[in-house]
Amino acid sequence: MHILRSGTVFRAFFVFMITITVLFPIGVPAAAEEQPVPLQPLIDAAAPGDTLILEQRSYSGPAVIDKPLKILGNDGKIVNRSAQPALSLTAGQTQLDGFTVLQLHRDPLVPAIHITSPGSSLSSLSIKTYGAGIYLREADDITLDSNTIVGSQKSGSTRGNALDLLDSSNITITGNSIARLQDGVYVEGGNSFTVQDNDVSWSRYGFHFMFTKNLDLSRNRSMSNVTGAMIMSVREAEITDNRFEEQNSSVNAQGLLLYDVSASYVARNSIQGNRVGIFVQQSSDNQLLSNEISSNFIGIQMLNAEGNMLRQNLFSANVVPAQAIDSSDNAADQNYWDSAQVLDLDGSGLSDLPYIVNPFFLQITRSTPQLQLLFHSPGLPLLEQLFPVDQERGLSDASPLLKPPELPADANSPEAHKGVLPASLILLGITLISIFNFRGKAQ
Amino acid sequence: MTRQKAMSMAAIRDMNNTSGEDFLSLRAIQTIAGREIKLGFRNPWSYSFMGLFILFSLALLLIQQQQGLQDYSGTTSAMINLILYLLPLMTLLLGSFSIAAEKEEGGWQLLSTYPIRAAGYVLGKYIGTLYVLLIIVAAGFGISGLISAFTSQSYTWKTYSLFIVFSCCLVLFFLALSLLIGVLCRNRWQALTVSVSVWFFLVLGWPTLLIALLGVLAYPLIKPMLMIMVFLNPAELSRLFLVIKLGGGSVLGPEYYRWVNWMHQPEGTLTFLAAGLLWIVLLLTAASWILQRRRTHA
Amino acid sequence: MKTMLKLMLISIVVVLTAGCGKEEYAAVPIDENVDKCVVCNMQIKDDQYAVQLQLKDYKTLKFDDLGDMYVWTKEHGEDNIGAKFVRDYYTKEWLHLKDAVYVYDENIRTPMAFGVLSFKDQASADKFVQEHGMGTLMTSAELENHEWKSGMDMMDDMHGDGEHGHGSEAHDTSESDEHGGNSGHE
Repeated sequence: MHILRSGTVFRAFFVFMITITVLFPIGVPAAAEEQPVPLQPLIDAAAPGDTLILEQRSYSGPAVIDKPLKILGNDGKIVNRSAQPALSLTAGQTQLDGFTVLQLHRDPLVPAIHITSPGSSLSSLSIKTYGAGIYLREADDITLDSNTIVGSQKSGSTRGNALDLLDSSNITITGNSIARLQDGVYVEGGNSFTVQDNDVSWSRYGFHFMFTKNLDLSRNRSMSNVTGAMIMSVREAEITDNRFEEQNSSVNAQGLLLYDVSASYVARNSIQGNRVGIFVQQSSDNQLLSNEISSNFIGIQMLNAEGNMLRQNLFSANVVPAQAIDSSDNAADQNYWDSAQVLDLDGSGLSDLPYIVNPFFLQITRSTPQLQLLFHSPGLPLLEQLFPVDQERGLSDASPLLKPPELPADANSPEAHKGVLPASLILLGITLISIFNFRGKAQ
Repeated sequence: MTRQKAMSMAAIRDMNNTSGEDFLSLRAIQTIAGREIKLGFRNPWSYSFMGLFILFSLALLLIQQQQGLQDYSGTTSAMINLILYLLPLMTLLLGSFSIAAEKEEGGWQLLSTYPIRAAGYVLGKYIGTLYVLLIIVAAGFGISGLISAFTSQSYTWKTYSLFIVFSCCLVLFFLALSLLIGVLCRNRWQALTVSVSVWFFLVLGWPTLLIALLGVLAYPLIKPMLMIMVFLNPAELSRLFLVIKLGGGSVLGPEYYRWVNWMHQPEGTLTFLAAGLLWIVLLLTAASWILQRRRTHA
Repeated sequence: MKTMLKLMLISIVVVLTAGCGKEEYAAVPIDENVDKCVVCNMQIKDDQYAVQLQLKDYKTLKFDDLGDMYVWTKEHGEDNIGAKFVRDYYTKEWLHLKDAVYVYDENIRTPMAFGVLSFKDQASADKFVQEHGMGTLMTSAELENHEWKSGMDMMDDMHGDGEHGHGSEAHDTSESDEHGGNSGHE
């Protein structure tokens, strides 16, 4: 479903790496190896608190870990063809580290690892799954660190969630890398989450939080998903220093969505190349500070969002910087809008002219979505002028910045594009020849 | 005798001197097109438009320098709209003037005493004026491309080529329309008025018109009606085609999901080209038919 | 120009007659690629939880959870609604809202955690309650007076009870339900 676009070398490399990691272990027939060793007897034989080291070979699942254990992988591999999770952690205080799990059963609701007890930690696992990744069910105090979870090439509803947390609290999710699943990190209920330095791509929602509290989402990266972070019915979230990029192929795509979110802090995120950069609906009492919102189709979209603060954000090269409706009561000032007309009489660095977002187009497309076809049509400014801005409904920045705020420099350097130079030379050549040829032959 | 008239005489001489039958009046078309090109390159209007377009393409380059130019973004969308403001108007004026001026100065009356078919005349005019306009586009993109290649690298090859194709399509479509306007108008003054109003109607006033029109329609009819209207307006069709090719199709929303996916594939390109070709053929046929009728009635 | 006009007229007539043909409200299939919930913006899965309503002008609004439809009607009223559709839990066939039977339990997992399921008849509703050992039967009339509570409201309740109110037996059954009766992770 992804509309492929000319990507950077980096992205091509990224896709290539994923393709390799997905294809290689699953694509190579297991027949080449020796018969897998069943894992459950080894677990049954171990005493609580023991350390089990997996050799560099295949083990077969499913297995239930019903006592505290340490299972360390020496590049070992657990292959599971059953309809059960490869590993079920029922006892808690278990540590899993450094092996591969292949979950080959195609069911989006069956995970590779199923955790129903507190206090475990999973690190450096490599999970390839045709179903879901890791489920936490009322399992508190869990650490998930530096795992890689890759789903199947087949897109759509056959994919499960990579990390799926239900009513679990005090969870740390760091440094995981996730591709081609449904939701990268799905959290429903519970509180106190630390989600840092994770990377999700080619999935549905990168980070999806519902009905949770006390969330720290920082330094993550979400690329080419339907939505980067879907924050719904959440309070007291800190969403900082993330990168939400290239969420633009789906008609419902956005970088960051805030729905029914309150008392949260959204700062220093880099939100680029999305269909909608930040989507805010029915959310209040949040602070949006120093975010960089650039090259999106729509920079920020606000619907019925009141009482939020927008300050020091940078809006540049968005097709439409902002759309807002029923969102006039926000404290918006000192943002940089590259399309704003500015006038600074007192030399404060702030414009004396407010930047007013016209709610007209959003208003008509909300009632008649078909009219979205006129998005950024050249005649639209004329039409918008016919309908004076309804200050009651829109959004306005009281004093836009004259110059963009200082933000960390973009890593992307311009690449040379071959083809433009010869093409332009040919075009100029034809032009000159035509002019001299036809002008010269006067009677 | 004006220079145009002298050239018309020369053109007719050329045709008469050549012996043999002129199948499908190919020779007539060739002669008229050649004459049109020569006239075009001596027309001060062409050069002022060329200057304007070059200036404007350099201005576009300045916008792009602030932000890299790739895919569908604020920069490319601003470029699309600026091109849509300028190029159709330029084309409409040059095209309609080329016929209206000839009527005004008597060149057409002279030509019509000779056995040239109206279709041949219109097609010759189309090819000749098209050449001049494409050279104007080439000059604009040539200079800005050259400067970009040596300085900012702000053009990617994909956007550069897509924008050239987009501009050429606009010229092709609007030129057909402009010849019809030229045929219908009696003089340059009239052609100017009609051209500007048509441009206003298709580019600036289009959304206003659509929204007013669709407001009275029942909800299920809105989408099919919109699609029909899009295919009737070459400016809008070309714009949407470019937006989709630049990867911005998702901004059109769920209603157009299938259409956007279709247009994004090679089949979509073919559909677009076929629709454009149909538009050109219909308008040129209409222009020839009206011209022929007026000549026989005159 | 006349050809264009004729073409335009013909197409308008065709469209008009085609449009006037349909009179009855009918449920529209779910397209997972484009459909999102009008209220909460989430993708709508082509599953038993999806519901839709059609306005009198045939505009269709889809929701990922029956509760969200009630959120919408509470805000916009019932005046413009032509028809409401829900799906049978087992067969996923579309039913008129008034013809279906409902089961509510706060532990039933639905996309927005409103916990109400729809069934085509009494028998299949009974079957669900028996299989899962939870749920109260409701008629469509009773839905109107139902106190729609989503996960957020429950979170508030828990908050009132104390920080660690979750993790009690309240959610023990929810998991097997989510797996569609596929229980057995022991």
